[in-house]
Amino acid sequence: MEKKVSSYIYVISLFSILILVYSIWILLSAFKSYKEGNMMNFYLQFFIGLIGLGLSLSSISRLKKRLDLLKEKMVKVVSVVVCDKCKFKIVRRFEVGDYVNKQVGKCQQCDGTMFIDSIYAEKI
Amino acid sequence: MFKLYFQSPFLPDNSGIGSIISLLMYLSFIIFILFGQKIQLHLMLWEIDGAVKKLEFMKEEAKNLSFKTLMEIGKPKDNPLPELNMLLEQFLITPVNMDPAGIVWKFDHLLDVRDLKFKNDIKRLAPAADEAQLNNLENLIEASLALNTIYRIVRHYYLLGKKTSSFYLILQLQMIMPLVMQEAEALIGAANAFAKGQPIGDGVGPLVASKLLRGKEKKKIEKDMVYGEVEIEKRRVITLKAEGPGGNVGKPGDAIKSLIESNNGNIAMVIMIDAALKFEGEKTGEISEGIGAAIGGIGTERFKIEEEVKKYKIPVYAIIVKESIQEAVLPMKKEIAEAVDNVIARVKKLILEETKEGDTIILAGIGNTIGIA
Repeated sequence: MEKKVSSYIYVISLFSILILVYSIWILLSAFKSYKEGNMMNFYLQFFIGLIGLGLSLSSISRLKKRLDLLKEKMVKVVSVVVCDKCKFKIVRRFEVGDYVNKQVGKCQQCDGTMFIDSIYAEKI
Repeated sequence: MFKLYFQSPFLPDNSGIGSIISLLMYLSFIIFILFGQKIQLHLMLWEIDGAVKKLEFMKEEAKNLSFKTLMEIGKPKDNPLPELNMLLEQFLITPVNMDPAGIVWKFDHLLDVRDLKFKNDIKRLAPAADEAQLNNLENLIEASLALNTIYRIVRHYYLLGKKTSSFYLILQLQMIMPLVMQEAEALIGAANAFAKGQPIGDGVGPLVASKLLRGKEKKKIEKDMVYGEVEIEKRRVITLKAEGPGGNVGKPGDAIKSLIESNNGNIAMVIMIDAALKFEGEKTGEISEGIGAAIGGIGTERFKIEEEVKKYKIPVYAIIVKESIQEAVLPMKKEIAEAVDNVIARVKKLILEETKEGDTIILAGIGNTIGIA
């Protein structure tokens, strides 16, 4: 799924950048036509370039918004395991079957009991 | 010079291309005047169509996740799909409210019947699941049911609007679609959390209670509720929460009523801790203090608590942890989990300010206790 999303993003951003470059090139050609006095070409190239520029910029900004939204959604859930005696703490990935207050063995530092103190999601 | 040429397309007699563009401008203006609403209607329908397809995908994903989890945990002998489909279409007919006297108890009874029926159906579908897994499965299937209901309602209004070409029907649907989509996205996230048994944002109340009760003996009380006793600042604090670690909200109203009755009404105060909806712009995990019974849902549990505290003139205080509606059903955020210690500090302050040594206090952690024992 992640691979699919990243390839989609690459294709869209590449396409948008291509359109952007092409639009800039058309705009430059429009000004060249203007200097040469070819007004027919100037108007055509100017409008096409402007539309292309607008579309590509809006596509890039929308892509950025989507990426920001995706980043916001990309979280990992961790379990915080704490020793009841020495308060030694381990933060590890959540495993199915974990729950708050679950005893998960003995402490590496002392002989205390390790238990899950909290489970939460944090940004990657 | 440039300005003159730039403006020329809008003057019809300047050049050939200028006339064409000018004509197109006039034409589009006329088209928009005559068919503007139709164009807007089709654009809105196009937008809603995309949202309906997305909703369909989400409800299918939630259903597939429910099916997969049922097969993995429940190990049913027969194919559970037909029964699962039936469960996803289940509904509740609310009591008639023309004569509202006594409606709370009617509601309470219907909710109990629905709960029991839902649990029994899931038990049949997943015979190998233990109590906690059954509760998680119940939550997961409820999330799928909610997504299925949202999809059916949105599709209904979309098709109705399309059939009747009713601009205002489509307009209303289009206006609420961003909020509906937000809720649907939160529900699909919640379904994943329920399938794995991860604590959700709504579980902050039970998390506070669980932290206070760590290492203490817990006793069962009322439907799916547990309580234990702790001493805070030389006061006896009866702390209660829903029974975990399976997804469960219990019946805090009945539990508080029973605890007050068993103490003959000698309760100095009731403190309720719950997750509450934040306003846009407010920070997740912020804490607020207030008066009243902090408990969501349909209102039956709040009614019972209010009735009981009124009977014995017991003050009720609420401490809430702010979060969005999405954060409430998604895996618990770090900011919410970190708010627990601040809530406990507030509880201690409140107890010191409003009660005296030797008093008995009821502290209720309200919310879904999934992933929290």
